Amino acid sequence: MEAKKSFDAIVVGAGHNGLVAGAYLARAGMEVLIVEKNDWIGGAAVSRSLNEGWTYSNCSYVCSLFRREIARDLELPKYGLQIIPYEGGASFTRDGNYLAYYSDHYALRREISRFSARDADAYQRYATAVMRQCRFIRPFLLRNAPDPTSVRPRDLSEMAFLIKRGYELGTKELQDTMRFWTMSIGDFLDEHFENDLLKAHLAGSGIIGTGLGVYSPGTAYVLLHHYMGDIDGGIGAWGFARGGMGAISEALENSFKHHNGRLQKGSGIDQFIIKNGKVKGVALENGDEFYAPLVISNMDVKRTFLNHVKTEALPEDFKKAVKRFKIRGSSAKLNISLKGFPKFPSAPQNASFLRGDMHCTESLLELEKAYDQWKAGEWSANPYVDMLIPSQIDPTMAPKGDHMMTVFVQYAPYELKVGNSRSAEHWTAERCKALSESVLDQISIACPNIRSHIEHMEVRSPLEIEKEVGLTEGNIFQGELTFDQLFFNRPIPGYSDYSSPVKGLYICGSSTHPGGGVMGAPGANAARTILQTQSKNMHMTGYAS
Amino acid sequence: MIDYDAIVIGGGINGIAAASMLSSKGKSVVIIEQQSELGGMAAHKREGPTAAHLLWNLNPKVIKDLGLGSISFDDLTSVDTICVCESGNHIRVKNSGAFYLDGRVVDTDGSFRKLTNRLSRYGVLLKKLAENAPFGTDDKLNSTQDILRLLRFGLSLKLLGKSQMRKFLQDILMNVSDFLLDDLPDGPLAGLLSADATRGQFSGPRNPGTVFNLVYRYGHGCELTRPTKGMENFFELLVNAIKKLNVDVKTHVRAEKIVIEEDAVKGVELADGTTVFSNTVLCSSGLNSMKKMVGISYLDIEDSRSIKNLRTMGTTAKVNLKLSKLPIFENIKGPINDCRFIVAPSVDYVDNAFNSCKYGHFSQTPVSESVFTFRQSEFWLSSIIQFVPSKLEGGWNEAAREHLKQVLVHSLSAFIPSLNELIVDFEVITPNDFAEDLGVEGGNWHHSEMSLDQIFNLRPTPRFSAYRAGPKGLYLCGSSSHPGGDIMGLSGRNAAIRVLRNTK
Repeated sequence: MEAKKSFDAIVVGAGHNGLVAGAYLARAGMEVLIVEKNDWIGGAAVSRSLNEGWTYSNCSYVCSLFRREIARDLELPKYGLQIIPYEGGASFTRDGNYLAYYSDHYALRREISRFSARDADAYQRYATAVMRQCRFIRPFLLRNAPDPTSVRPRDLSEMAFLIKRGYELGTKELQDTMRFWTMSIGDFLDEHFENDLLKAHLAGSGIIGTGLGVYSPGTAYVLLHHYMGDIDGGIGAWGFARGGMGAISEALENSFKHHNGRLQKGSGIDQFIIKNGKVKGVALENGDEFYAPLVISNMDVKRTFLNHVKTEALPEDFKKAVKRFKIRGSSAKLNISLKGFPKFPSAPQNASFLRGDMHCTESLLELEKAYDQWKAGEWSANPYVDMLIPSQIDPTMAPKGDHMMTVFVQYAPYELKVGNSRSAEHWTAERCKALSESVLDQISIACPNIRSHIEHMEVRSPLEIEKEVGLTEGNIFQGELTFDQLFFNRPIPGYSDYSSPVKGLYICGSSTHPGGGVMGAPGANAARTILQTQSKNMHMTGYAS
Repeated sequence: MIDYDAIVIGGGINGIAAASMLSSKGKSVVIIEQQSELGGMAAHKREGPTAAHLLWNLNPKVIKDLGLGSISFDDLTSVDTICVCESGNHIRVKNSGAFYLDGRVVDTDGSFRKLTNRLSRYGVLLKKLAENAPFGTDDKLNSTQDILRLLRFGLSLKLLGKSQMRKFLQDILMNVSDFLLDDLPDGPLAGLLSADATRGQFSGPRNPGTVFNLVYRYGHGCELTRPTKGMENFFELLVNAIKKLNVDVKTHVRAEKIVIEEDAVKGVELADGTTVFSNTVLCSSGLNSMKKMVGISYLDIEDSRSIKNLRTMGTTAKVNLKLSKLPIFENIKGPINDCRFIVAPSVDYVDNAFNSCKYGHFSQTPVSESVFTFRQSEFWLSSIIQFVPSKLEGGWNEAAREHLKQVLVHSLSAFIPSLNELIVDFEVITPNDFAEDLGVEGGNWHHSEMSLDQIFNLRPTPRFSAYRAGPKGLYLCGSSSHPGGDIMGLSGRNAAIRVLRNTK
């Protein structure tokens, strides 16, 4: 087995999408090899133990978007995946108040009424509108995006499906949908609510991971990107993977191995081997070469084609388009080992919302200012933080009595501006420290004595995330989720079907439709496309087919 | 009792276009205008020159309806653009060629020319959409006519060719900053285009969808003109044409209330107490004024909510500087009033200027477009300043106006060092002044923001996109309806076509 060099397919990168694609292909009967540069698998869905006793989900940290069809097809629960839903969340204010968010309808209504009775009514309309959009978009996640310029039967049939879905909405709904997709989350919230704190609380989901501000058109759609998931049928619910996000990757790995897939860790790809416009295999950094007529890259489109494909193998237009694909680093991450449980003075003892996502931003303008600082190449002085303490629900994450805190930070630029120069190299250890101080100051709004509980802290700058995980600029979506880069435009117009100008070379990462988040859909869609077009006797079966 | 076949409220360019269209089809029409003269926002003036100082997209079809087919190239002078550069060696843009004033070519690799060509190609496509009502407005989407038009539009997309079509479908959704900087280095040319894209808008060059605005502005082949005999003369031409078409004009009187009986329009009550009767009323004002005239009880709750939610922030101020004499530019050839001067040295500069506007300030480094105009024996330098918020923090008092003028003069000194000494008088017209004088919400140029969620089928609101609003017989013909602002007249024309079809 060790000496084997030829496979039916090779997947480059063992992120969750690579694992999903690999598992589906293996399940269909192919001999598949997955190569991974790190000594561990999972890409950005990992659990790492960087401080003894504590486990960090040190990139992605919560789960909702992962398609249940995929979990069923690949039997992930059987291989140990358990998703624990968490309850609610809160936004804390500087004057010692908070707005709690409950999934219980009546509790939430009472809570919003505390701030504005009108908003409590408006929330009804808001939730209906968002839910309607979720329902509209969900069927598209596990389908390919049609190329509107093509007359191939599969593009036409996808187009017909799109038109049919649109037509079924009726004129009014269709117009509302078009409006929702092109609008900013700030404007959308302003239309519904009057209370700043509530708006700030809800707006976070519209900007997480993007290089856009709350008033940038298109951010309402990004909100959807965080709402269209589900846990056990509860649309919009979020949860923790027991044992950290690495549990998803582990379950995928087990499923993949069950179907005789092979995994090779510890050496990244150097080059795709391409002859006469056809992919032949991969050459790894350690000198190993593996051969297969199908190679699927889990890396983003820029990394794949600009770093690992010899330029003469690609048409000029395509290269230009890849160069123009926008991937902007805008977020950083703090993972904290806490000694004991810190006090949140404004919250009641044992409040349920402390187990959810907590924020410290009070208004949309504050978020917009944070965005402006990012545009200028600085990290936000008052960053948006999305912080959770999963160890309250999942005791495997920290020693008994102690806790683990995960803090998502926005905005932090990839190319930091120092003096007059902007460069990623400016992310030195001291500046990472300075960033963490800004973040801790922000957290102190909710939790003033956070600093005294810190046992260990990992600060991840966009540069560091890029270097370790391989996400260009540390962008969590492998490419901006703006409407010029979505659906049939993702990643490159004309190549939304996961293919590339190189025959046999496919991409399956989040830079393809339907985009980022621990969703698995790009991987499954890529596998389905490959099986449909490249194989006569093997078929994709299951819910995601 | 009927006095007229149709009443047009508001005598701006769109009101004029609507009235002329109706009248040319034999309808009796009256225009009601609160100002003393027709021309609306474009012709608005106090002491100095008119608010609009250039013509961007005046539609030939509108001109033809007005019986002004004789407006020819002699009456319109094409205008060059001068991008002001700090070095003093400014850039002249003429027919999408760009030269430094010392004669060197700026655009050595031709990428600027290619870019503007691409924009005009896209413009042709959008023009097709602009000259008709949006799809799906015949109450149901599946009317044969609509489907045919949709297919025809699809075909013209296809005819672009595969790669061009792909490019179009992506470009049109992009933000103008990425769109420009993909092909051009950041500098005065990129600055110029990003300023053109965002003028009149409450959005910066980094806002997704701003490429649409740029295409819209360059919609008719990038040709930028001014009436040879001055803007005022141009508006006189329009007024005369309207009168020749037997359109009655009542100026200096406000339309107070739209009279409605049994959910159908019966006429318009004027501020002088008289009532003009008609079963058809076309309203070219913004939607909030319309709402006031109609009365909230005649609008659905959903409609009045969408009107409230309309984004109408005004962001452009006009500063007119009266000069003792014309400054002399040694290296600018040709008449100086055939140029517009753009201060927008880079995309970043434009973006920064927009940033302050978001928080209720105007930028200390403003983006402006200035032209010299001669009126009788007076010299004026007339500037449009971008990103001046109508909701200024602290309000628009005298000090704020003076400050705005100083900020402008300071930034213009880059190309007129002696400007401060030349000024004998000035006036500052803020977005709020426009709002007050004309009744345009927020003083917004386009009545409502032209962003992707407020255009085409969604303009002004999804339910009003068929130029119809509220009670029977009430139509919208202002620039808040499709296709929108600039001195184009198409909103009025499209609305009138709609009226004609309904009253056949």
